[in-house]
Amino acid sequence: MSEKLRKTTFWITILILAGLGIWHISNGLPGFGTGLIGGAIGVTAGRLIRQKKIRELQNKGLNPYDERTYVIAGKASYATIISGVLISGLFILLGSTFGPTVSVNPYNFLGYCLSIIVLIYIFFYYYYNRIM
Amino acid sequence: MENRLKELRDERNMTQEDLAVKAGVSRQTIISLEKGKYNPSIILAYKLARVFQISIEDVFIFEEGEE
Repeated sequence: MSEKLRKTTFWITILILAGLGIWHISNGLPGFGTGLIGGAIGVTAGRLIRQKKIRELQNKGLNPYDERTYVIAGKASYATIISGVLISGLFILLGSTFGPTVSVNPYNFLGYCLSIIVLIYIFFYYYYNRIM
Repeated sequence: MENRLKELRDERNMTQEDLAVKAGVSRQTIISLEKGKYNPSIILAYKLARVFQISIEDVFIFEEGEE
């Protein structure tokens, strides 16, 4: 993905988040709406700070996105897939055998799954960054 | 794979950052290479050898059975 496309995708995502936040606030869900807007502001601030640091490195002539970064990202992705499959398999096996039948909101459930996958990826990224 | 990066860098009074800039990588990559934690691609190995103006074999020491 090129830098321009990455930037556009980021700002579209932030706009959608903020827009949904405003929509929720105006439709009687101020807690959720404020959370979304807060999240959008937090992510934007985090990204801007990170971009500033990266620009400083690039101005020095360093390349923060070198081949080692991609190797680490690849290893972290692979580890995330493997552990995700194992954890899900174990969860399904144990849950369907011993667990109670529960009804879930699919959107919430997908949200939890996505969060767990992202957290596992971040964990493995930092792990490989430490050992490599 | 062992390498002589630190030795070559010290001989030329270069800092890790100087080498990183010349090879077009991050300083963290140079640190990992010097510690032997990371094996570079052939392109990076070539770039590093070119910085020191010597051959790849003079920078990286490959021993049988390492792969």
